[in-house]
Amino acid sequence: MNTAINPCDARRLIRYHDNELPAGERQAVADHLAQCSRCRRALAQQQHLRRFVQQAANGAAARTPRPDVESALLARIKNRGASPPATPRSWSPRRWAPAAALALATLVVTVIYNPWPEAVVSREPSAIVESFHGNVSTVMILQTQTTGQTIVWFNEISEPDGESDGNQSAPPAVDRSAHPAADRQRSVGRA
Amino acid sequence: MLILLLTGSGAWAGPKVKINIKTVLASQSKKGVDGQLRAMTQELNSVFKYSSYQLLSKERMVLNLNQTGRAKLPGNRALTITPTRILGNRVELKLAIFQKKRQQFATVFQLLNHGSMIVGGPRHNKGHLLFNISGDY
Repeated sequence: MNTAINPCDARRLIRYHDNELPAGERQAVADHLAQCSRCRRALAQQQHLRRFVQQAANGAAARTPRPDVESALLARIKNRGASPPATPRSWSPRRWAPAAALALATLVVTVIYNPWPEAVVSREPSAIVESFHGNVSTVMILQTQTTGQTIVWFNEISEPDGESDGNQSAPPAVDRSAHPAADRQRSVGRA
Repeated sequence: MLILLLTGSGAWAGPKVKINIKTVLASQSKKGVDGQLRAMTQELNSVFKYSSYQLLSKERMVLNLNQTGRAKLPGNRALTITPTRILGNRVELKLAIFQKKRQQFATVFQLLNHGSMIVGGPRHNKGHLLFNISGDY
């Protein structure tokens, strides 16, 4: 049975980086690296990560107050190194960076475009008008933009001896042009 | 004994509805906003274009259901308000405005608990009267 070898095998690349491959296979990986930019980038990332970990370890070692503890820890690390490698490399920040960036971008797009903010803006009205009647010419029911406060506006029919000035078309001072919210009135009717 | 205790504590009276009525004169002939109305007028500016808001009076009532409260208004007017029932988080109110004992306008509305609404329109002193009605129970 002929088993096809994946030339971009990440595990093989890591073993190459760690000098764990036999000479023949090591040469094959080197030949592959010469023509595969993706594997070269992966190798460079691996080298960068290794340097980062070494620097961190060196810094920690420099701060270790007891050489006996340090040597015991190093011995334990060495012993672990002998066992088959687990995959701590999968937690490389660089490896997870694209996924994190994608998640962040998705979150931003969701926050910007989803309908939740609109639902917050269109609050329920402070009052629901069931009925109205009276000696009036027109009644308007409006709702303010921010808090959804209900406004019931009526124009009185002028009384000969009353205070109303008879100017029924006088504005309730609704500023429709400047504030489209005024156009979101629930109803305009005659009582 | 139990009946006496319950009656004495008002357990049979049902919910008390607290109602505040602010009477405001809005006009374009003056300038300036009453300090007590600043929050309200900021909201109203999205709808109206008055240059002046003046607080004329404030009334506070505590009413049982189906009990009517009355407030005097400028220009021989009066306002009556009656809470009729509680509907979830709203109280149903009947409101009527009279001028010289004649009913000019009446409406029935459901006001959000701790909410407020504005009824406006009557002309007064080169402006319009607004009534800010808030209630809770």
